[in-house]
Amino acid sequence: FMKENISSLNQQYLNERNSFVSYKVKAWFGSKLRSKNDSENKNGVLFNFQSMEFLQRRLADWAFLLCDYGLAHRTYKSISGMYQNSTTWEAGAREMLGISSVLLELHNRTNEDSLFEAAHDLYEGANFRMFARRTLLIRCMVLCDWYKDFRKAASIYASFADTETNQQYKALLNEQAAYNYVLNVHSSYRRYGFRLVLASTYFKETSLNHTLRCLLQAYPIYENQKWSGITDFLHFHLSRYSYNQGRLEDAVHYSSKLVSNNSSDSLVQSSHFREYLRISKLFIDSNSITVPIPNLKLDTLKVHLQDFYSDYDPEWKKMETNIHMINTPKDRRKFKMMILRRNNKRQRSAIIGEIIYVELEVENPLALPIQFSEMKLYCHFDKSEEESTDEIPYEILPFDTVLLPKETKRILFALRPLRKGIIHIEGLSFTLCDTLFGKRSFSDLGAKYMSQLSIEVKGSMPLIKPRYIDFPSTALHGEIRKVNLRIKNKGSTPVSSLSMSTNLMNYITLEGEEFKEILPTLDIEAELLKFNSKILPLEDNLEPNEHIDIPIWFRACGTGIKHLKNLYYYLPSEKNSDVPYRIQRAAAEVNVTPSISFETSVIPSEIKPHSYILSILVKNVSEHDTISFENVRYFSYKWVISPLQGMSEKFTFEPQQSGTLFFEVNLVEDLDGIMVNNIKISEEFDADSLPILPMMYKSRLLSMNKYHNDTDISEELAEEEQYLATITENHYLNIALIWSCGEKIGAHFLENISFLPTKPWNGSEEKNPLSYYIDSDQSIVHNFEQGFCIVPITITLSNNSPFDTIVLDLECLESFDELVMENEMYNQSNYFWMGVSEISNIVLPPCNTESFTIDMAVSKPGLYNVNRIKFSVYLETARRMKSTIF
Amino acid sequence: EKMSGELLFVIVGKNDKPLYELEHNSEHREMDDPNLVHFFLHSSLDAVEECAWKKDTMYLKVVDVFQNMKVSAFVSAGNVKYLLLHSQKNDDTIKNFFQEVHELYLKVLLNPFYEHNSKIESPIFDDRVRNILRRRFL
Repeated sequence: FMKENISSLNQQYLNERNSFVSYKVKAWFGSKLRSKNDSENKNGVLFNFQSMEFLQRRLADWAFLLCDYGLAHRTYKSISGMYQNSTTWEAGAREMLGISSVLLELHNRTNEDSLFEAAHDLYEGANFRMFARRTLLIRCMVLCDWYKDFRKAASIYASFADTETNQQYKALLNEQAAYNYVLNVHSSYRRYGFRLVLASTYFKETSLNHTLRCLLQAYPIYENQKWSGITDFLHFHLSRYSYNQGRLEDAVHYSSKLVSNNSSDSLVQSSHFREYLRISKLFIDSNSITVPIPNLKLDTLKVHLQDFYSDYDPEWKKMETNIHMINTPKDRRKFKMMILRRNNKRQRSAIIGEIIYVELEVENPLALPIQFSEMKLYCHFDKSEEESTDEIPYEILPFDTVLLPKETKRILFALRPLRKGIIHIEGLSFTLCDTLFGKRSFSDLGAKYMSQLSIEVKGSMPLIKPRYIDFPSTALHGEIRKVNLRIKNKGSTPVSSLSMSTNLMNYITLEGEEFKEILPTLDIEAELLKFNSKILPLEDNLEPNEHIDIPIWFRACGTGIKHLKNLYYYLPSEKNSDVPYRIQRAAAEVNVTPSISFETSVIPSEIKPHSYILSILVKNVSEHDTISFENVRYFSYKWVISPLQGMSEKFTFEPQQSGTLFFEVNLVEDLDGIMVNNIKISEEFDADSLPILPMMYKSRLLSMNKYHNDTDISEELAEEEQYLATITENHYLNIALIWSCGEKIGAHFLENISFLPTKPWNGSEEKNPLSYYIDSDQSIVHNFEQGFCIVPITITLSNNSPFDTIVLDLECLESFDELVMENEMYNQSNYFWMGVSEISNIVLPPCNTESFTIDMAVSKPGLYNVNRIKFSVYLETARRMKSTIF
Repeated sequence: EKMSGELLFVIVGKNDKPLYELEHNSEHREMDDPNLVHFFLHSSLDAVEECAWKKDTMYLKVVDVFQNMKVSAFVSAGNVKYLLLHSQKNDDTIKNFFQEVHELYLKVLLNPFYEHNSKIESPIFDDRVRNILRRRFL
């Protein structure tokens, strides 16, 4: 039927065309081509059903319907020029021309696009909005599906969306623009997001579902971008629309995001927060939910237990090692140290009944104050296999707090375990503004930190709390004071054994500490260990809530702020397989100010043999303390000292004053053993109660240890020194100067003041320690008319000691003595030294000889005494050790 | 020549992260929804990236238009983007504004305590940018 109609229409068309000339003449002369029956309306002309224009249009349409796109295309092309007076007909023709061109796959894209554009403009002009939209959609569809030009399609959609007035259509165009932006080869995802958001704003007039859909699709573009205006907008609208659509879970999710990251002002934040509380309350009625605030600064999380980790402080770690060593038999020490090192990474443990503290910083991110009620830790407890009871495993102490706008607060949470097992601390729980019961989890920490939140709870143990009574906060250098160390048992079981390790062993002296005259040069570490770590005397078990006071002598040894650290090791009276021992730390601080400075010098006496003069230059370097010397205590092997001037009056020095004390040092050969003596300056002063000698011994021990470390003493040399120390004379003197300053008492030690032994060394020949020989020509003949007579003098020095190095200074003195001669033929006259006449720091190793030549110049004949050489001799070891002590 | 109307200035760093934001006269916003300017500004980053490849100058002039709002852009050598949303056109003023702010940003970068690509929270920087804005546009 249609084919018949097409052929008849075609025939009719051809018949009409046969009057081609009349047609063309009419057109040439400008006559209207329309037939008499055509009418006009505001959109142009309405063609008669029988008119050629109409016929052609029918022909083209029917050919199109029967998929004869070629005929349709030709026909549309010819009629599109005919419809110039009718915009709608022309628009339609152009539109169909474009469609048929596409379907014919002519690939004339520019032409097709311009046809569609023209059709659209014509429809718009004729106010046929519906057809205009249709044309637009077809145009864009062709661009997308045929030519894959999504970019152009998107821009067309966008531009028409901006000018469209119908809200729903506007929304659709924006949405289509968005999808085309993202389908583009170089996808413009930001434009995609923007267009979807625009679509959502226009959809909300008609359909909240689509609004929500568009926002959800756009959200991933902006998530985590932190554009203040964008994220707040999205979170707020997503929350609001989700709530309106009955999607409470999503509403709560976005509302919590809005609260946790909000850049609006405080009024807006307040309304957001109220809405969040309201929605969340509806969502979860009684159970808790994860809330977005407060912000937890998880890098500040610390767990404080009563056991201390020594890992991060080498000083505490060293003390812990020492204290383990003194509590372990010598033959098992190495094994014990190996076990300790292996157990270093053990899980932290708490004891039943002892509070665990968790410290954390929390932050309020909003610009309004927020109240938190019943804030506490929430935990998970794994009970141990031994436990069968179902009682409450732990006790938590809640509290209320308010965080001010943008405030960061450090909070300490307390948790008391009541049963054995493992507690896993999982987070915080609280009531937000008395409305919402919420929690915050620590699970963001990561495995590294989560391990410190799993704490094993072990059985009852004692817990000691040590503290010093009357410990000074400031002290003068050298000040001695008696303090009490009070140790109280705050645990639930008795303490059977207690040891203490200290980092400053020379500051602390217990009653009854030993004193040795001779320093051990071998195994100094073992000797030091006895003083670093010691077992404290406990007559009986220290019961719970009892305390003991241990008297301790404190002496301030160096200037500056000193941190005295003590580590305590104690055992329970009943053996506990879980916790065999416990460690407790305590620290005290003292500021030591300068008091006195000393300089000592020793010169041989010129009157007595085997005698020396010891001078001590004292200066009071304190700011406002007057210091008086009360007593001099010393010990030595064969040397005694006595004051040169009368010491009946006290030696008192005002601040910044100085003075010199002189002592005579004499050898006493008949004595055996070490001599300890006192020189009382003040009769009323009682120095006997002070543990001076043990303090001095420790001080010398530390100096020896430092000397060995600095000079890298070999084991062989140390053995030799030890041998010497036991069999030879001790030619050192150790002095303690005891002073008082008001109520304060102190002591300063002058250690290892050395003297040359004046007796032969054991087993050697009868030789002096230092022997010298001066050699020169005995008689010289010289013609003085030629100038001075230069006489070389050779001085030979010999160190007879088999193991001590001697240091000496050589000085050539001026000549002045006169020799009485029977024969006065030879006159006395002076001579002088030429060139170097003083040599310092001559080092003579053991059993070494060295020679020096010094020139003497003589101006006239005579007899001259050249025994004008002065030697100042020191033992090298004593000189060096003295320099490190004070 | 001074400009009135709304001004929104943003410095955008790596991964579209806003380093600094400044709004002026937002109560005179002329869009359908006043919050949409931020989305528009964000979307103009696509246009900035397209233009930046085509031009060899830092100042890209107007890169995007929406309704009666325009976005002018300036891209630094370190690919930091300066975006200014405005309603009136004035290329010279805007270019000078960008250059001055860019110099300020370089000084911020020279601060060893400033973490690169983090938000600029210095109140001094904020004061100076506001002064430049006032001086140039108002």
